[in-house]
Amino acid sequence: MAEIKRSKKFEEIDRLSLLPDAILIHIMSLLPIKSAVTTSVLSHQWRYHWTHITNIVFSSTCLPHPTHDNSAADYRILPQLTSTKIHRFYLFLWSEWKEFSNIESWMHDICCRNPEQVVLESTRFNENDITLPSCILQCQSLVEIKIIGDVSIKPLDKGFVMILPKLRKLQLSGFNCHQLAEILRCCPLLEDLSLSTNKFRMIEQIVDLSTHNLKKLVIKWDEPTLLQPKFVINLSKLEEITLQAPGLMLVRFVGSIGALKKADIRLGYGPLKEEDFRNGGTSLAWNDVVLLLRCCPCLEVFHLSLPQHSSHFIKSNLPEHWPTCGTRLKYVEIKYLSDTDEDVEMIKYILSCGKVLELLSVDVYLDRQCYSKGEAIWREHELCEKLFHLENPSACEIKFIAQFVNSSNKSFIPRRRSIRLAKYKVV
Amino acid sequence: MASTSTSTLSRKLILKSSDGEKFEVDENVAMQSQTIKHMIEDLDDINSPIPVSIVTGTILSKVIEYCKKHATEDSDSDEQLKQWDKEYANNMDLNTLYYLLLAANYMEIKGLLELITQCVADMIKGKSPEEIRAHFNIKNDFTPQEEANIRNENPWAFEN
Repeated sequence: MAEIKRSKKFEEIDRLSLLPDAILIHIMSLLPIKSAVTTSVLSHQWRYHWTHITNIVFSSTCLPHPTHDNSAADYRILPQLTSTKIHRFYLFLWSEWKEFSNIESWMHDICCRNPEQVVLESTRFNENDITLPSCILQCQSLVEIKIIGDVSIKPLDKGFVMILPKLRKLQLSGFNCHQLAEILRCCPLLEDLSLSTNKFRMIEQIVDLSTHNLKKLVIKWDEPTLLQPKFVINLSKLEEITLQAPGLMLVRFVGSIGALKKADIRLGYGPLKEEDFRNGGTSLAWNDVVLLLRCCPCLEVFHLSLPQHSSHFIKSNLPEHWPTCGTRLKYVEIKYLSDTDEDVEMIKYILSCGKVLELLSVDVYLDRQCYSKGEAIWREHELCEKLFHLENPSACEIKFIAQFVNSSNKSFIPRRRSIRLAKYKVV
Repeated sequence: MASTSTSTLSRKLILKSSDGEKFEVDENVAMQSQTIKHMIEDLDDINSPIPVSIVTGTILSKVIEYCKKHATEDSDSDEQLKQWDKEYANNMDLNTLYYLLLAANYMEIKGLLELITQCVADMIKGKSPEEIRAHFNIKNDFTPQEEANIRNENPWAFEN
């Protein structure tokens, strides 16, 4: 009996409250702000713990849904916090809030507390943007700014001095060229830049990207805009690039991008118009791909995703003698390849150049509406055989992935059969 | 020269828990604890047991289980390791979690500390004050009036 009592007592001890304050504050910093504030009512000991948090997370469940009374959004949360150094501030904004009147005072308050990372997210497809005060561009402690969705930064006043000496990572979706150029000029340490053009505010159509230390670049042409922005890229230290674009014509590399090791190019995204095909504005010529490869002699990993209906695309322009490039390629993946002669020629070219190639993966897409199932299988087989018979000096693995035929030149059917026989013998 | 470097790699250390239990572990397993790493630097004779004074044998064995798994991370993908972490934390009762938290904090094992704090945070997340109190046996020492006043300071946090 006594033992049962004792074990019950053991269970009832509130060990959580006995933990050192530093650990409790750490735990609360991992909570969305609403849960953190909830703990203020647990007991006297917990009363003010939450005010020390260094991670402030207003997730989508923290603020009332816009269908609620909007005046409820007039909180006084930030002034209650005591930490002078904020590690991360995350705010999810409902797009239906036409105006989030607090945003200005909130951002001022946050920027005074030495934040390292500020993340603002808003649901997309919204006509009323939320505008951030430009004080965010004067916050010297910032290492990362991430703005997702329809949030833009207020146009800069004349004489506004931007200072972001520590910024290493920047993600923007709504920006204008002037502002972007200004930001890039004021972030000497910027290494990682991600842009999405869904709310591209155009003054000029051409964006000049040249910063000294940029190592990683992501550009996504997301939504139809009247004018498609074009980019001039001059980044000598760039190591990794991701482009999700209608076509390669929208990007021009000037100078050397010799440090580039990894490229992920997805074409056929964004607005595609009839006339774009006709005037060749966004069409894909294998030539452009070769030109890209020529600019980056150190490229090791290359992912290329062609437009799904690539038969619309002009893939001609095959010069007789192509210069050798892409000699350091190790992994190549090409998606939505078709079975035209030009495409086979391109694969042949990559194989002949790649001296250290380890894996070439091709994902084949034949428009099934044009063929019956039998015909499609036949054509896939034919293409697969063609590719496997190409000269392959580096003896790399070729993976062939299609709708009906999946194969690799390293695991051909005869070998598989012999393995099966061997297994059978053992049994 | 090569042989000495391999022998330092597989050096063994003896950890002694607060209740006197001894554990022999590889150096690279123990070195995940910053505290032990610093202790070794000051230690002349690494063959003598290293006291981990506030951690009991039961808890220390669990800490070592974690460190062993994370010392050989090459064999597993990040995903597998995350899955293992999740199961590891889910198999602990509240009491063990508290002691593990204290141990990870004292021994300065960053990964373990993060894992357990996240696990406790997940237990608090989305719960009402009453539910949190019940889960952790926290005694409410406010009068109803006091509690109502505090709720009124930030009424939005207590709405559903």
